[in-house]
Amino acid sequence: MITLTINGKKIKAQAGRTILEVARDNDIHIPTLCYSDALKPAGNCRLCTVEVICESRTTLETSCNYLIQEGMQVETASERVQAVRKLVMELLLARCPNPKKLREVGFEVGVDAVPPQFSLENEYCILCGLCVRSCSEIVQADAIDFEGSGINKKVAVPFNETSPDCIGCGSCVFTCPTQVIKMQDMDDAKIIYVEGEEDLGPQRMMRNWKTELNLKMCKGCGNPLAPEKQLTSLRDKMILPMEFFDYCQTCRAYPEIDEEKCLGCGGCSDNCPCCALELKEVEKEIKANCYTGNCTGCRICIDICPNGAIS
Amino acid sequence: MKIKNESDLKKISDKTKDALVSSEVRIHVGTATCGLAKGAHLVKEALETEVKNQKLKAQVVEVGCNGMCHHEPIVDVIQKGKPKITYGPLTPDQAAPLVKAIKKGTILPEQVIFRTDEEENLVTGESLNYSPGEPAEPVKKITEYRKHPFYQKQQKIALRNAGRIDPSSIEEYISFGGYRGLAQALNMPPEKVIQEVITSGLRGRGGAGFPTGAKWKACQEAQGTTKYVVANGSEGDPDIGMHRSMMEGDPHSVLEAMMIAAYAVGASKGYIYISNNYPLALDKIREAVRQARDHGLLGEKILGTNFSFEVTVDQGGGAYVCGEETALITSLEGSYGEPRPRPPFPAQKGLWDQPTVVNNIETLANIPAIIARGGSWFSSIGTKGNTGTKVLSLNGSIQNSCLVEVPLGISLKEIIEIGGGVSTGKKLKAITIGGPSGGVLPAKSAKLSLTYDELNKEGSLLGSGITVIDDEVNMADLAQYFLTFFKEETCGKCTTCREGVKKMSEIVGEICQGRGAMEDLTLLERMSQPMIDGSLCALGKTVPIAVTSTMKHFKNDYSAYIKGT
Repeated sequence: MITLTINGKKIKAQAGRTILEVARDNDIHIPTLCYSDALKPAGNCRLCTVEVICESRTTLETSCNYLIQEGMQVETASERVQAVRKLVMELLLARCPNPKKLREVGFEVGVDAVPPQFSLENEYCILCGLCVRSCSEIVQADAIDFEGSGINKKVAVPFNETSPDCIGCGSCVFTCPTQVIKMQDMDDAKIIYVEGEEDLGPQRMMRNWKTELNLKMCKGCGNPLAPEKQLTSLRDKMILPMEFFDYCQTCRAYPEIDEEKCLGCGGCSDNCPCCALELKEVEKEIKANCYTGNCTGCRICIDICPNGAIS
Repeated sequence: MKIKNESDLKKISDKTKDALVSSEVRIHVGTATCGLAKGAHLVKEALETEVKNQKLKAQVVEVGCNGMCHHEPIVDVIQKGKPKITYGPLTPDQAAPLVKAIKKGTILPEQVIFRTDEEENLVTGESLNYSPGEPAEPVKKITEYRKHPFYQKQQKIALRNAGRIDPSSIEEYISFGGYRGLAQALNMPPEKVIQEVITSGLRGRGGAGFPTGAKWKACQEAQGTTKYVVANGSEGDPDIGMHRSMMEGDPHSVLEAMMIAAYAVGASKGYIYISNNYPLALDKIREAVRQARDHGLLGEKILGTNFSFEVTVDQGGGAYVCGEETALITSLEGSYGEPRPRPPFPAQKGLWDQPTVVNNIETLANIPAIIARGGSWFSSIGTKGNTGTKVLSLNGSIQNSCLVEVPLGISLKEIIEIGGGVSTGKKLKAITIGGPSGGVLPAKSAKLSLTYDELNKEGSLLGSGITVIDDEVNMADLAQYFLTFFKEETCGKCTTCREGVKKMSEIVGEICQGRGAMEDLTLLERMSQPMIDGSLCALGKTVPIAVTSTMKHFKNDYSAYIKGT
């Protein structure tokens, strides 16, 4: 255990934690933009900067990736810290004047207007990298990354072409603080030529990544489920049966076991990929039972049952 | 031949020295990049032709830069029993008369710069005596090296061999004491090697000035499966060629130093990171690595000990930010050169999270001499806390743009005088040290001494380039030049640096175009501390200094643009 002080308050925390994590554990607010507790910290936005005094040496560090040390003193709102936060937001708002989130955070740190000498750009991306990290760390697709460096840095797909790796899961859409990444589902996409047209069917467009993906339709209702590529990728990663994603949540049916016909052979429970079936004692006989919480409606058990006891 | 032990080294050294001493005539041509830019390769060809045609028994050898870039192409003539005569600038059509003069035993008086009677070998401590006794006329009248105003106040340690040896010859390097430092180090326990470096007081020559011995000690004590030594040759400042001259003129000294470092910290693998801005340096270093390997000085069981070391030469893309050690490491690993937060420091977790020593090329160049002559010897040069020498590229409004090496503690004024003083007809207005990251110092700072402590106190840093600025330069324009440089070189990670440099550059640009106002100066001031505090690395932290130092000392230059005068 490490003892440190944040804003004069003595706190005990475990070694290996960052200043930001410990602050959050203790309800001390530090604003962030490029941080997510589901992802590794990056230290790109610089908003979470705090003042750190260690052995009488004062430095300013980003709290999201700075590990706590014994005897450390942290100030989360000193004048120097506030000046950094104010400048960061003024600069981000000059770059991206429109996103609502930036205006909110700006307001929080005391920025109501961008200095008139700052020329306004019309960007939306603040280069926080949350999309890149989600795609890499959580989804493990590595479809997008930073491209270029310095003032021309941006997030892109390799060679600015359709991504071979994007599975259209939308994690990037979910994590983007300025909502510049957009996902659009179309029921009936068409390509129109001079000579005629081509039906593409239901498509998910990830326009930022120049990628269109075919949507898989539910075998039951015929509504779009998710991109085929996403489902295939998940299925392969977790080694699931081919039919695993054939039905949407609504249409997915759970097995009904006819106890008269059930032989208690255990063929269904042995082959269930989700451990949703087990054998249990019912009035001195062994019968199959389904725990629907685990069941994903893949219907393997229905096909396997030698006596047609499952429907 | 494979060098298996110290006596093999001595055999090569003796053999090469004998050959050098017994050769009738040896002609050096300075063909480092600076010389080549002035046509030195044509001079070399002309000399080779003339030597053949006039049937002179002479060797024409290519050497590195001796620092007198203003007199390129440089040619040295070493004739048995006579002082070494250095000529420059020598043109190809002067090759014939020169060879004729050599045959006659005379000189070409118009092109002579200086003579050298005696040269000290820094590593061995021996003296190379070119001519016993007083030289005859007309040589007597030529200024001797040690009395020449260019060399008088210089002291060559890092550049000890540059311009004197053929950089493509490992034998010549060895005959000048090369790899002797390594042999000595391998005979000591690693802790003692580190102690010598600590005693020497050597501090990082890349600008930050961190004690080298302490860095090696931290790495030696760190836990890791493999340790690495990295030579930082990614010199990206726009105004200097110091690493370039060192690597082109004496590539083996870098290798030897890395081996000593590796032995001291327990590393078995090294990387030399050179920017692709320096194709000749890359060639020379690669050649040196091949030679060392062929001679058994790289690989397993070096010099008959249990020490093994291998080196890879890595070609960087030329980004200034890759001079920052963590950005360099990231670049070596194959990613964009973006700095990483410290802690953890590279000595504990560097290349691929292993303990790594990253040392500047100049820092390393001092090491073989320190080990051979002892840390105390090195610490006797310079001043307390600022020991040894510094290599500097002098340029700007200076009479002679050149490369010098001076003991720390010398005044800036004296350094400028070595370069011949401020350009004729110009007046000294300001001095910059350390390129764009060092900010500007007003003319009165010429009395400051070249030390880490004094320069850091003034808000500058002990960099590798000194640029003399004359009073025809508006300092707001200079600030804009620095900001434009930073705009090109920011890696883009931190909001404060990336967006900050864009905005500062626009605002100063508007001021220089006559569209500024006094409030702009207030805003620039207000931006500077948060940019320093909010940026991760030294690049972002020094961007504002371009503006604040010029505004502090030369506010009138900014006002001049604002008032429209």
